[in-house]
Amino acid sequence: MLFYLTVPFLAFLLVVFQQGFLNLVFFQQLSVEVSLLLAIYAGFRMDLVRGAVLSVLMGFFIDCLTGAITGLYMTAYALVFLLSALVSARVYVKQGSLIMAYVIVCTLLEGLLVVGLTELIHGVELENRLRVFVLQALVLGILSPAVFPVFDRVRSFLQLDEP
Amino acid sequence: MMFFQRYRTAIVVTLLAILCLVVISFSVRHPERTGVLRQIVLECAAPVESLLGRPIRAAEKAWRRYLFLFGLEAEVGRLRRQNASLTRQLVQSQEGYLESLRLQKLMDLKAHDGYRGTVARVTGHVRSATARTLVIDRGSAHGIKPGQAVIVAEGVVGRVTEASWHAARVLLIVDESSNVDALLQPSRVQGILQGRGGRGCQLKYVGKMAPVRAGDAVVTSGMADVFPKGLLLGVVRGVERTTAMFQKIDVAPAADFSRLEEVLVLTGR
Repeated sequence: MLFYLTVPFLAFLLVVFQQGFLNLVFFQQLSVEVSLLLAIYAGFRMDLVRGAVLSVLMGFFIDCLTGAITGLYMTAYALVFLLSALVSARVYVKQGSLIMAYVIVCTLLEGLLVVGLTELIHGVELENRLRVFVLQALVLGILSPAVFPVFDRVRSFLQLDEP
Repeated sequence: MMFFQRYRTAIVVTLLAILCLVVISFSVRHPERTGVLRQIVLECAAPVESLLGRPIRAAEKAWRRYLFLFGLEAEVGRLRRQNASLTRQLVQSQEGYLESLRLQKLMDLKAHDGYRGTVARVTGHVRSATARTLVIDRGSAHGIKPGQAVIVAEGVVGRVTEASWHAARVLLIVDESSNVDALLQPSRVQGILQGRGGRGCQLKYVGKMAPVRAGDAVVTSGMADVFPKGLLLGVVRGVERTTAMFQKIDVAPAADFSRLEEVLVLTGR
């Protein structure tokens, strides 16, 4: 129960920190989506329901804070989470290089999904935005082996796995 | 419960899909509506974002200021160099202008007296215990000979005592071995102006009855044919009348020897 009470606040703080602080650090040229890393992490290491709730919440908060269509990032995060959960059931992902590669693929997938859905809904061409996602994928890929252990520690510190 | 456990994944996936589709469909159908949840998130996020962004903005501001100051330093350096260069040019221009004024005065003097002259630059001052002389950069190659008069616009400087090809020495009228035939301009009384080193000059052999007052001009008499007649030598500074035959007349030279840069050597008529 503790999880469902705390996770909205934690997810909210993470997304605000990401949108407010990290984006400024990178001079608003690059969005470092730590929340996406958390969604992937949730797919690998967390319970299905809890991971899904966390991913959907983070997606929703990002929708709210970026001004995107409500449900856009929510859908993307939910898909990334489900894909990660599916992959983790078949493959044991622990190696840094494997995590990096997987994160890069997921980030690109998210980018394609976001751009594709936005184009579909608004009818605007956003192909040139894809290169931003490529750069973002590389940055997240590099960060991921360092960030995953941090998530492990936070999870154990907050005892979020307790039923 | 068993059903949920058994089909947990399928149920979660289905619920997620339905949730996403409903939310996205609603959002696309009613883009003008901002949901209550969205409003709450925005309301809560704004102050937190502002708080988080403050240190970054401060750092960014400091960085931009640093960049500005860095640029300013380069700009200050450039302006300083430019200022130094312009100051140099200005000084050179002023020097050229002042030199041209001085030379103009000398040329006017030459034309006025009908003398031929050579303008020479002073290259050295000799102020020993025994002599007060100048060295000029013109010599016999330019028509300079010993005995020729050397003047400036203010008055007589002295006479040439020796000359090499491209340099000459000028004995100043304040040198103690210098004697110049002179006369007091108001009274036309003649005398000999003798140098006294740092104390100026003394007009000798003026009888005690002759009327002499401080401020009287002392000019060349033109008697010895060294100096043209009527050139200003100096001004009477003081008179001392004793029981002797002659008065002691103290004369301040007209020319300022410490500031001489160019002189005119009178080479003939």
